[in-house]
Amino acid sequence: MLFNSQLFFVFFSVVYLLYYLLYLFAPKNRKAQNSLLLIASYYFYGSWDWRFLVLIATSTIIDFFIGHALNHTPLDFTARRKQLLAASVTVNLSILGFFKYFNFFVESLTDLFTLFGMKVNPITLQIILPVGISFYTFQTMSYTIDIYRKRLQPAKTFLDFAVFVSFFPQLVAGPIERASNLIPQFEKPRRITAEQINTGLFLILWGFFKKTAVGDNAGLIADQIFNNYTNYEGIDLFIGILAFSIQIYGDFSGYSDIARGISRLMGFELMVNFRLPYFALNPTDFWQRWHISLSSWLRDYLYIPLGGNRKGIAKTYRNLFLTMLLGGLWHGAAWNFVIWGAFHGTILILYRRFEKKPAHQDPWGGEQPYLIVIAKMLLMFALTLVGWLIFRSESVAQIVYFITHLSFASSAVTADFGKQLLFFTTPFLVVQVYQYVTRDLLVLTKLPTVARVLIYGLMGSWVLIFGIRASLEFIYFQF
Amino acid sequence: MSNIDKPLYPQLTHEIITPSNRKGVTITVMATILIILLINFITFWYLKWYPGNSGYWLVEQKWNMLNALDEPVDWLILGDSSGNQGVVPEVLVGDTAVSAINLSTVASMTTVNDVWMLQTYIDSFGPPESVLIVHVHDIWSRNINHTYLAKVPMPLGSWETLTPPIKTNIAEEFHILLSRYAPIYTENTTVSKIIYESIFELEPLFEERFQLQPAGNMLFSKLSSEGLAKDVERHFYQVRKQDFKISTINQTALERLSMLAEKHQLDIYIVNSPLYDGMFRDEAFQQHYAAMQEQMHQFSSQSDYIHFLDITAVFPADDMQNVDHIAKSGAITYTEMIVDAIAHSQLEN
Repeated sequence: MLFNSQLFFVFFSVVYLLYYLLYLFAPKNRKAQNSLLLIASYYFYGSWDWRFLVLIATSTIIDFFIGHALNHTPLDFTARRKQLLAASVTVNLSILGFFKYFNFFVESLTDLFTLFGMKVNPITLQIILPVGISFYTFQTMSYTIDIYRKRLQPAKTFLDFAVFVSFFPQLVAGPIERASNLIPQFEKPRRITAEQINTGLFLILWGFFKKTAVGDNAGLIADQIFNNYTNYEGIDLFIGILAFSIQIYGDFSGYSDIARGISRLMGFELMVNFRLPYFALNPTDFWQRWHISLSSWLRDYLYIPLGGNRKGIAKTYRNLFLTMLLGGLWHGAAWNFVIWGAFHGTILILYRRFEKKPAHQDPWGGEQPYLIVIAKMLLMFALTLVGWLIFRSESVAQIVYFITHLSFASSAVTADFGKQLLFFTTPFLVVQVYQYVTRDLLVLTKLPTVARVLIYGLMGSWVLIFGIRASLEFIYFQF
Repeated sequence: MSNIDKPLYPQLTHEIITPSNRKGVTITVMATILIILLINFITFWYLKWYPGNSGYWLVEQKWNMLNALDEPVDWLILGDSSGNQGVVPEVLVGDTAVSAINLSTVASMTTVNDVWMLQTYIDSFGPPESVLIVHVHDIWSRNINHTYLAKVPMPLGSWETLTPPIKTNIAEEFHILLSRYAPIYTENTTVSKIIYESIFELEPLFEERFQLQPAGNMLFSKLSSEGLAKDVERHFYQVRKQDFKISTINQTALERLSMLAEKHQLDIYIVNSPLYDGMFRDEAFQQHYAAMQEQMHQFSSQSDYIHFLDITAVFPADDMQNVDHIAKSGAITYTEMIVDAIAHSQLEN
């Protein structure tokens, strides 16, 4: 059930109506509200494949009981606490590993043996990848780790925890929520404010605009070029990469916005997942703007436990590289994701080594000439495009072809591709620049009423007219 | 601003939430909906005068032509868009004093539309002398398309009272309602194409895009060879995907057609559309085509008044707009082939 399907529209309308009635007439009955959300979430997830529910239920039950066991185990029982944590992490990673990576590892090992002249008969299985498994696995893992670190109290009831794991707006493509942010919201009485409705509706509209009118249209161009790449060269290939960069951003950030908007309508706050990533000045800045819920997860549960930047330059670089490598692998069981992670790890290290200005200074504060700031932004965007080329390609040969055939040569279709991309991207870009200049992602909600209504109306009409209706799946579902 | 929204570094763009009230939010939502409705109304009005989708326009126009007829005709030409541009009424009647009108619409309306049009005509003028129905090979497996159905100028839901009736559920009725009154939703591809082409190809916005000939047919120029190749692939994919079959709705309509022919002793000639020879040569297509011919012969054998004209009108790419729609250059030849086949059929009977 995709957000951009008629089925979801009916589903959410019914759920929201019931939820709002409960909110109005039984405002203190959290149990009823959370039960409704749990049933709706399980129905939502089960609509892909009912068998997936067994996995999410297993993960929920195990982590709930381990969480409580950890909380009741005194700090000086270190071995026992470590065993409990290891059990949780092992179960979660085993489920994830089996469903997502089993065939990848088997095939990769087979290739390796073959390389050394050894013949093996690999066992590969017909495994269906449960949608969103990477998202909720990371979410539940952070729960037990935080309890282990004594940074979090376990959920008071199983219901609260179960709805935290399966909360349908963010279940299949994030944001990857922290228990410390979301569980307390399930444990306290709801309050749906006018501000939440106002900004929630805007986020939904803006999310649909980004997903269906921008991302999906750019995706048509990207797919045409990437799927038939040997038919193209020169500028067409560049347009293909550019189109994919817009597709993945529109698609994923659009999904996040819709998820956050829907949650707000129900009185929940999910974390901001994107902060205009293509305006980043360097890789550190990029990862503070792109898929923030994942990058901050990797920072807190991988990079810092590895030692972060506390153990010297060499180990800092190693930690950065490993974190990005595993971050790449998180995206999918394929070598291109690993290479993509390695690429980002490498540029993080290079920037850390050679860039003089730290990332956190205001670039427009006057310390640097504006042209330098813009040049840095363009360079980082160019590097991001290289990353997306690796990410989208299906083979090393494809990456090599793109790189070796990029030039200023145009073809009969270059102008058409260019015009289409320009047409579908310009309104989006204008809003993004406005958000960047005002440093406010919700700046459109603050426009004078007439201007705001006019823009919302045009945006809604634009979605209806230019939005792709085929319910193209959100790219990040596969992760 | 909650902690979670707090930016990590000052230059990062964040979400600043300012106070709102429910009245303000309600006004914003209502006004936004009004703007969208206004844009929809402007689009509705525009498409009424400058339609952009020939299929939707054809259904509406042909029904308007039928409803506006003030005297009977001898030949009623029905069918889909292949007949709309393939049969030239003037050629069909030749130099005789016989009259003909081409009311062919689109394949997505199925044979049901032929029956409805024929019944409407009979209700007004009694049976015509003869009826010619032209259909593409792939119409027979189809079901009626509700977006096209919405374009029939009849009160909503009235098709449930026609024979054969089209029964719709709530979701379908809602879709039909949107198809009739919400073009920014249901005709979005047409609207987006018009906007895009007016900006980037400087196509005039206020110019008639389609024109019917006085006797109802349309003349089309040739399509590019690239378009033809894509069309061939699409048809190959379809014929390989499934065996030939006649959908329930078409079967019901054919039975009703047969009943009308018997009741009014009305000669009804059914003929297949012109075909691009590049597609016809394909073995899988030939199997599909032979199965279609066989079933249509079976159907026509049930009544002395139903005549399936066994002609295979194959044309080279130069004469085709696409695989089963003939261009202006071949339409006369195709109509002449039909005239010969009808004469042959009449001689046999």
